[in-house]
Amino acid sequence: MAFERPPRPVPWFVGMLLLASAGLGATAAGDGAIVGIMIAAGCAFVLGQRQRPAPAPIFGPFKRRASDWQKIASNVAVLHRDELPERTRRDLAAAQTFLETLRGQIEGVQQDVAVGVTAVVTQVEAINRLSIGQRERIGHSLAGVETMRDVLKVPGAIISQLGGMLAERDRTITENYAGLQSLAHEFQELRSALDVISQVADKAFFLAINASVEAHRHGEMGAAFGLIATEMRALATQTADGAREVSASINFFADRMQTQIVAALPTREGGHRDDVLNLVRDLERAQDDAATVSARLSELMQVMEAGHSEIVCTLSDMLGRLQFEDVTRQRLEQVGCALGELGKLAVCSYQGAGPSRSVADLLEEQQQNYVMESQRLVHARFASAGGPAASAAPKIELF
Amino acid sequence: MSKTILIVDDSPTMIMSLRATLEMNGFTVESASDGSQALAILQGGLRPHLIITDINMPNMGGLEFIRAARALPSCRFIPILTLTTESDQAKRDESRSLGATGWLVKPLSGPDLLGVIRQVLPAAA
Repeated sequence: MAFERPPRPVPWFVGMLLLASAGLGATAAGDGAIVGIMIAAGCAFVLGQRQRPAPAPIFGPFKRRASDWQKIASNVAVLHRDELPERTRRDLAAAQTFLETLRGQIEGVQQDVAVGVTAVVTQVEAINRLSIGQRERIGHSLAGVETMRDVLKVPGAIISQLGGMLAERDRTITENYAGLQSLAHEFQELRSALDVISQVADKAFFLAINASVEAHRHGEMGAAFGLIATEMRALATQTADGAREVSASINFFADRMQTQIVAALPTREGGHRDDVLNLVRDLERAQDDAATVSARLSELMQVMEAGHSEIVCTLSDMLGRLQFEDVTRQRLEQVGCALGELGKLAVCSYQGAGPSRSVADLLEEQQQNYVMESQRLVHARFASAGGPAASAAPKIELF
Repeated sequence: MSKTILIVDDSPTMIMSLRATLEMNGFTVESASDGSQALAILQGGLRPHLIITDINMPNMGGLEFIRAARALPSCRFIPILTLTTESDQAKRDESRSLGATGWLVKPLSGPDLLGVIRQVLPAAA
């Protein structure tokens, strides 16, 4: 059976509720969709009780023009308790509970959002701490490498000096060795000269013997010649003996010099020198490695600094966006207060006392309580005939 | 040495997010939940380099706080920024006449806020 919608006007609180829901629904478009849907569902419930099964959903057109709502409000304002049907009175009796429930839901949403925002801020701070910690760890590593470089510089310089001294010593030894070899060569030549002297002495000795034989063969005539021959033989003998003694001395000295030369060979000293030079080269390599590591860490540090700055910038931006919570909280508080006032009016209507203020007064009061441009824009969209007024005030103004 | 900023706001989450933003950018932050508490902190000897205050707060609102703070000799030249959802031009004008340095409307991004702070505190981090 088709149910015709009764011609009587919709109760005033339903109209007001719809108006509040519409405003909240507009808020929900940006900040709290859940709340908007929830309140819209509440309105649907109330209207369903009131009108079921009405063919057209009355709450659906949130875009209903402001004049429509004003018409509804003016219709319900003339009603008195005695004129209300039983069903409407029951609805009025339940209205405050319903509205308080809605306020409670709004407060719940506010708390949930606050808890969520707090958790996000905590996470943001943790991310920032992690970034700072990472940067500090790399900074410590860099400081350690720099210290190692400084430490390596001191013994490195000493060993470099030592290496230079050893190289100079090696050069001197080489020169001395060459001098000794030259001296040995000179001795060798001297020995050759002594050999000649020895040979001459030997020849003189044999010549003196022959001279003595000849002198003896000539008798007295050869006596004087014999004396000379004797002297020659003695001289040759002495020369030969002297040459042998000098030769022996030269040989003895040459042997000792050879021993010294062998002992002074550069190859014998080269082992120690090479060890030291290897140590110097190792230290130089270690210094180079430390410098390379230091340079890489410095580059990494710069990257980390840039990354950290970017992280801080992003996190700062994120934290700024979290201010939506404060904006939403204040808007929801305003809607909650409006619902509370609406509930009081419903109670007055149910008790037949007649509300001290009209819905129009309440609406006007709402308008006075707005602090945000967004609130005024929504109000103008639904409750003012002139439409929303554009705001020219900048978000940032330094005086 | 980092600059000290006093935040005055009745919203704990606002204080929390502002504190995090400012501290991670090198500032030291003190906070108060309304104007009267902030005034007590200033009278207690705190000399912040900057004050950022909300307007609509319980006990003592932002405009009243600015008036009272400017009456303190030590706070006469401290920059005071308002950071509020309030968009009423009359209140904005009143804050200017009371000695506020600037008017910022929430929500304000972190980089925007830091940009303004660097403008009013040229040597800021």
